[in-house]
Amino acid sequence: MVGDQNRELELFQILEYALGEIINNCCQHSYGSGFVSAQYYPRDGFVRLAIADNGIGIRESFRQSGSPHFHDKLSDRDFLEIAIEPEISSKNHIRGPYGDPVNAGVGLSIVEYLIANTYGYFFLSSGHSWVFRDGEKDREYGNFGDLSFPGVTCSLAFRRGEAYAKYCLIQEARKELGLISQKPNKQPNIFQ
Amino acid sequence: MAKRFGHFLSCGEDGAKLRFCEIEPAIQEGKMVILNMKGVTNMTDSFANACFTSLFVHLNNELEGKIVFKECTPLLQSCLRDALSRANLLLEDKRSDLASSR
Repeated sequence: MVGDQNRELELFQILEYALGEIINNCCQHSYGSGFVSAQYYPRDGFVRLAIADNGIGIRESFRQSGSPHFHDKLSDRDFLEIAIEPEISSKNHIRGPYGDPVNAGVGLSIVEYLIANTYGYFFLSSGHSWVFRDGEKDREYGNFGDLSFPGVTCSLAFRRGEAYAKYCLIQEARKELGLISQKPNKQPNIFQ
Repeated sequence: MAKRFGHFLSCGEDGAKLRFCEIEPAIQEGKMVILNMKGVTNMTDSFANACFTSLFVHLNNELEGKIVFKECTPLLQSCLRDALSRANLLLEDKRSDLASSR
């Protein structure tokens, strides 16, 4: 019973983490209003989260912030790819008072990793383009044709059974994406 | 921390403000910062990077006598250990950049 509760708690914390990171992106980059929806489908065991905003979109965010990653020739599709790359954000060239970046640009990469490794579905769209990933399969990219959505839409479908008791996947993601050292290192004692 | 930010440390901008406006100035005055994490149950990488990783890098990971975290859950301890590990990696990168520029 306690074990079940802990596993349930870890599932909740993964969902909370993913939602937190995507909402952060929306607040920090969109300059628009955001919308969130969540649904649980008991029959197929999917927890679906969707976050959309009516803001400036990913490409425009890179352009407006003067990002070194912005080039006129790059398309919405290119910027979807860039945005998912770890340590790339439209704002990680912006430095804080001590000269270090204030945005690490890792949230979306970790969320995509979590979805892939729990065999869920990941969907992200902005402007004319979208990217979709089914579990661990390769990403698929596509275009809306003449249609476009100027803001950003992100849809995350977690398989409840797979995301159970898997908070450790977040740490694994940090390692796999090269954000932390693969080897244990000597650390100062900062806990009381 | 929980009274201030709730049980989930989520917003990177809040993390950056806490670091630049409160933690860093207190450490510069020679004070020891104690962060009570009671009631905090989760943290995004956005918050951890903006507040802690960048702070640890700036302090060269020499943190003893400067900052302490109280009443952390095991999950939060692992998030903070990862923030330390990331700071180590960034410091190694900085050192190798410096060495190659010489």
